[in-house]
Amino acid sequence: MKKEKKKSVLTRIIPYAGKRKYMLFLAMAFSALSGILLLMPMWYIHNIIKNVILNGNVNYTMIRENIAYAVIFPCVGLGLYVLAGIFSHLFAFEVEENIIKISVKKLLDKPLGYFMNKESGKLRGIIINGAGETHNVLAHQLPDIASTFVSPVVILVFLFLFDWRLGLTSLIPVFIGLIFMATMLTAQGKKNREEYYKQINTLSAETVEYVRGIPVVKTFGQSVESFKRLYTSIIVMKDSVLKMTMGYRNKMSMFEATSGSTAFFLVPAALFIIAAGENPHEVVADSIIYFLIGPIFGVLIMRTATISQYLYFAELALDKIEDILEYDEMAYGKEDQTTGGIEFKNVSFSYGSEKVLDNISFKVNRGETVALVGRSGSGKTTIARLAARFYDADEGEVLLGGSNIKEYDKTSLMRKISFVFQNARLFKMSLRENLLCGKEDAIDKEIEQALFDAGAKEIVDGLKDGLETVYGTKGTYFSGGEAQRLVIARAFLKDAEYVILDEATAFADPENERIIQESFKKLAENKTTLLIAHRLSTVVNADKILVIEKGRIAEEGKHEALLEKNGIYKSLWDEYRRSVNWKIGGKND
Amino acid sequence: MINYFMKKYAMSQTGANNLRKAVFSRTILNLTKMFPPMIAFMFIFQSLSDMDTAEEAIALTPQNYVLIILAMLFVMFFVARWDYTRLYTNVYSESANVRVDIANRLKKLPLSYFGKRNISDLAATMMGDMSLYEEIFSHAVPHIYATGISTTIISVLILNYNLKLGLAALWVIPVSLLIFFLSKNKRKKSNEKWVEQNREVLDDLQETIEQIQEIKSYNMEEKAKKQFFEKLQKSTKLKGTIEIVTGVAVAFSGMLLKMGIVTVAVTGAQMLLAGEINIFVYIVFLIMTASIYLPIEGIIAFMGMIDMLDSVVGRIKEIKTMPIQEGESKFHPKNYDIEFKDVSFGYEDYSVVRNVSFTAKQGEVTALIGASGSGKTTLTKLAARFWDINKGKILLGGEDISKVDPEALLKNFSIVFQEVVLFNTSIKENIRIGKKGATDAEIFEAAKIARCDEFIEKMPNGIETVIGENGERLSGGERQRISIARAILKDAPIILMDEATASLDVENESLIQEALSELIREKTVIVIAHRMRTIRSADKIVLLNNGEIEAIGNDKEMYERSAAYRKMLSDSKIEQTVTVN
Repeated sequence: MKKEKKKSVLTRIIPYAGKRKYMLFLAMAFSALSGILLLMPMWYIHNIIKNVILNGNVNYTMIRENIAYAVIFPCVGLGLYVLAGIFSHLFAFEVEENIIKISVKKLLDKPLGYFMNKESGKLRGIIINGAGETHNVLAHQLPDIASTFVSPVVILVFLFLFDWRLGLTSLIPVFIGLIFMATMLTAQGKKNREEYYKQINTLSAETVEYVRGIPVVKTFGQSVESFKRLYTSIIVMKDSVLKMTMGYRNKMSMFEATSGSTAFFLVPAALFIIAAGENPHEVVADSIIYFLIGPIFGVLIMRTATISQYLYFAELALDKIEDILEYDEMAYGKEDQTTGGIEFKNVSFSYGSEKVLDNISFKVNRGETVALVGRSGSGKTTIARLAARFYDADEGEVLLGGSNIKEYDKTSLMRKISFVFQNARLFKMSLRENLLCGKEDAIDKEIEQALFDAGAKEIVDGLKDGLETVYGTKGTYFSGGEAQRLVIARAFLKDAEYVILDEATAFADPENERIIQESFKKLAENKTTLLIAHRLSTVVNADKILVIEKGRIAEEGKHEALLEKNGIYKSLWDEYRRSVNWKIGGKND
Repeated sequence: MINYFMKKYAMSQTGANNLRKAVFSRTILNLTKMFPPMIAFMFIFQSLSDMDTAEEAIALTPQNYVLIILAMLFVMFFVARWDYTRLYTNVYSESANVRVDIANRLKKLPLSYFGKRNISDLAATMMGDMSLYEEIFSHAVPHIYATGISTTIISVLILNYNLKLGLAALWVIPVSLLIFFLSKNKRKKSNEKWVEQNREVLDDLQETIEQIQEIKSYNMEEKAKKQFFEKLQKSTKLKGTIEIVTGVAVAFSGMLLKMGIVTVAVTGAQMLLAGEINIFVYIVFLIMTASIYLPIEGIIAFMGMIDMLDSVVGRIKEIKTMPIQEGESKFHPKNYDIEFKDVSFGYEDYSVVRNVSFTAKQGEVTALIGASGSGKTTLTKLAARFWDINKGKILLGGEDISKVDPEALLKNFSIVFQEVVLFNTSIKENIRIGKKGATDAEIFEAAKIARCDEFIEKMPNGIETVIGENGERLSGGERQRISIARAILKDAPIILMDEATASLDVENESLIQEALSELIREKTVIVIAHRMRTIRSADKIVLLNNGEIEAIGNDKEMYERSAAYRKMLSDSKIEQTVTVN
């Protein structure tokens, strides 16, 4: 089972190595070879000792010859090992880099809908850490994997080369070790380990909840209780892991006592053989090699155990990356010319099993502005996202200029649409470069005009370096409203045919609110515009207002007509009027 | 040694003490590992005693050997068991202690720390970190110190036995450790550079993900990719050089150890030829050297693990350097006036406040106005000791709040800001947090006053409905009303609130407004205000500009005195004409 797993991890990794694939094999081969070469001195040392013991005198030529080999082989082995290390590192870096590159490429190709409910930090962490994890295994464990699997073979050969009885005896501690390892790597042991990792994760989650709650529990004077809860979890976990560990106490101690103690088994066996009448000198001479290499074997067993664990971690990391990148891809067409209005034809859409839009049909004529209003969760934001192809409709069609939105070429589609959503962001480059994203070859005058139209001119004028100010460097701070104004200026430069606007829910200050509302109005002029409105003041002048409720269009028409209807829109409007009159303290009407 | 451990590994005194004990037992265990070679030597001496008369013959029967071996095994087993028990008990206790200590510290951090979400990430990472910590402290750390000690002891014995051969056997240890440390120091320098580059890579990726809407909207995928790949390649290249250099150094120093046996073989052979040693000494040294390097190899392998510990210890130290707030836990102010006396403060992303003095009187509404970034929120948070100020004094009922335990202080405050933290339990329990041991009747009453009943009725299980992690099933306005219900239940004498909380949920804005009006009745109220209209009837208006007070007074006084106020009013007139048509 272990072997099968290993194969699958390595075969999964190889495609990421690209042209450096061969390095994996070189690294393994060199490492295996060096493993053998590094054991060779034992052989020659054994030869020397055996010779001395059996002949009783010191033969200079024999010793010199053997010593020469004993030096040359490990030196070559050392060189090979170093080479193996270099290759495994080069290979590992290629893999790490490619995992990141391929993942990021995939990520950037995802439709926008993919990103809607994913945390950027988490995505980043999974990709980068996952790649790092694989790298660690490849660079640091890989060479050892090969030598770990080759050396036992060599040792086995050694063991039986001289005296098979002594060889077999010297394997006893190895067998004992393997048996202990096996009993610890059983299903139960694995379950225990998994249980432990699960506990750690639970504790992490509990900690997040604890930390998140601190402001609340502290404000309400209950931090002692919440601390106690976490404290109990920590102690319970400690007790259970300690109990588990102590369960291995005798086995591990036995392993510790026997694994390197070849002599404990070899000596009685040798004495027994001598007692049976064989020449003590020969027996001693043959046993030397086993005294020399016996202890090494114990180390190798431990290593095998840890390697399978590391490989398991690499596998987990790859799984996580693949899981998070799994998402239906979108197909794009070739359309890039058509112009006209926006139309939704019997569109339905669900997030998972939750139906958000139910058979929506409406039209925004070319050059008109249609406003979407409705309670939060009514589906109006989803409509806007479908119009920018964040997602594809489950049923029905979204048409731009008479062509299905799916027919468009990706680049042309994005060129045709400007969207300004609530969480507007600037790039971390100079303001000028930020604005030029909207139109690469814009001249200063156009930039100036765009800033003016977006009500952002005074923001730039207030900066020491003006347009050359690099956003995100120390001290350049824009409030949400200011950032949105700059983003709107960029949209002015882009001058796209379709405009999709999502007004912010709550403006931090009325100053920004007023400016942004005016610039929205200007931006929508002569464009086909879809506007999500949270404050009804914005929608009064729209060509058409759609009242969305529970994923359906409940009412539609112009402001006055909707007021006369005395329906949902009217109640929203009344609510809005009431809220505008509120005062803090003093008397409310 | 204890102090060294405490500092180096950010350990508690008990932890450091236990580590010392673990090193001791591990050293003993290492020494018992000399038993098997001893038996081997005895056997070889005895069998070859006829070869060299200089050695004293040992004559033990096979039975004797078996008995000795059994005794040795027995001792080794019990020493190992003793070491194992001590080690793991200590390691897990210490890691639990560190966890508890972290939790305890987090509780005492200034509240302002919690706005940044990386605190909970940091904490969660650290709780996870502890498993690495456990692994390192159960294997690497004791091994390194204990092997250092036991190898020194054994080395002294060997050198004492035969200096020349001893040197031939042992020279590789200092040399290979030296190579390793030299490479480590070199790596440390380049590593710092890499950490910086790597952070750029991480930031770049995170930013790319966060700005994906803009990137797609402006067809900048290729550009973003190119930019990221360039950074990535640069960082990988640097890391590659570092790792290959150190990788080679580690491999080299590890493998160098294996050369020790070769030098012993060579030197020993020459000495044997010269008649300086006999065959026993030669064999003893060869067998000794075959096993003496294994633990040293372990040291080198574990050193890499210790490097990983650096980041863990770094995070523990990071939390330990964060300022904790403590103070007198008994606090009974005479009244509930809040007085700012010449207060100055500035920190990271908090806006700077300079020489601010004003008093928010009990029973009055004090409104803070000013452009965003002028210090309104910062001032409000300072009043509840979210942070400690740099200069001046903040008094509550005449007492300096910096001397009061934050939790005792906060008993007097209800805070209604935009961010609301909810727990994954029922609405009822979420409200009950407002007052320990509140009866159901009290909760229903508070929910009603906070206008929660309007949405509670629509819930499948009413007030018993469990609302998911951080209340994900509720809208912004609903969450806000729960937080108001908590505040009503708490019935604290001072209210800090952000007016914007009302506009989180546009369609329910007036309901929230009504709830807020109920809440603030007859309390000391400090409100962060955004809309001019809402604050005109406040008892006191504080106009802030860039962290300083520009004007104070009620609406009428302000209108007369402050040009800035008049301008804000006229701007808001425009706003009203836009809004009300």
